[in-house]
Amino acid sequence: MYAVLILVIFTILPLYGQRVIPQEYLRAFSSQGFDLVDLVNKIAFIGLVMSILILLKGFFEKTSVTYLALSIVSTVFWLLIVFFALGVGKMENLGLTVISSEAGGVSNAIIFDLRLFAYLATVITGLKIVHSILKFRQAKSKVTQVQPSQPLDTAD
Amino acid sequence: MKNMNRIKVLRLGIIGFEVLTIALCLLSIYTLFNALSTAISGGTMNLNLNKDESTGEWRFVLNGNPKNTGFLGVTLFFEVAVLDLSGQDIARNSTSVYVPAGGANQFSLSLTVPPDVVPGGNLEEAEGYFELRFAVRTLGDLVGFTNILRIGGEAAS
Repeated sequence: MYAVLILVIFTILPLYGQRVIPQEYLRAFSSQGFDLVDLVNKIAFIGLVMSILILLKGFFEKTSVTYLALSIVSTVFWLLIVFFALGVGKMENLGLTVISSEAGGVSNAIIFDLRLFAYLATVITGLKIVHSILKFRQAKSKVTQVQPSQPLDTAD
Repeated sequence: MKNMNRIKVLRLGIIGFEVLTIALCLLSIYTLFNALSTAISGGTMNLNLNKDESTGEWRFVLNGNPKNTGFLGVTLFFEVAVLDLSGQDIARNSTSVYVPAGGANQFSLSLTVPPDVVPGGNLEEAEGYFELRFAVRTLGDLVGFTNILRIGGEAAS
């Protein structure tokens, strides 16, 4: 259900919305150095990957290494989404966005510096990964605590 | 049991950290846009360009009294420069002013353009660039917005 919701919000709605936006607006954004179509396509791709990751997690037990690996991958993927949002579509900028345009001998550059939040998001991601590992170890130890008692239960 | 508590504490810590980060992000962005809208609104800035007839120098003066109606203090930075066609500085000056949350602060920035770079004493005939840099920073100057405007080039013949 959650995977479907993510798919609808991040993939289906942006792709549908892209068709609704008039071409003049797209051209206007493009002339200001801002590729809206590319941004929407990237959001749709992110939505698709997130849905797949959530769907895959549902197939595995919490005690399996694959579940832990998928948890870590989806946490890192959320970090990339944060970089993507802070960089207005350019995650490689790590929160430093530069939008520049030039017309008639006038050049204009706008720079947004939100790198602090990119660093904070990285720390949060690190803590989330530690949390996932601790939870995995806890689930594992619960299983190993239950398993030795099983033969005794059946003997009774 | 001890391990379980540790995991719960970590989880609560992460949630708290996330909430704090989101709150700071929203607050900073709101403050930046708020400072931008008040800084460029009418009445807060006064721009003068005068020629000193005795020396032939052009004097650019920017006076301002920006207000900050945001929730965080902001530092405003202004820089003006005149550059030649190769991008080398002819004249450059800058100033910065801290405006506390809910307050206002005055600043003044002047730039003198030497007469030898203005042929015939007419600025419109001068070849080169005029650059204006404006920046707003908040949250201990860790978050910010910068706008660099460059006008000019070769004089129209």
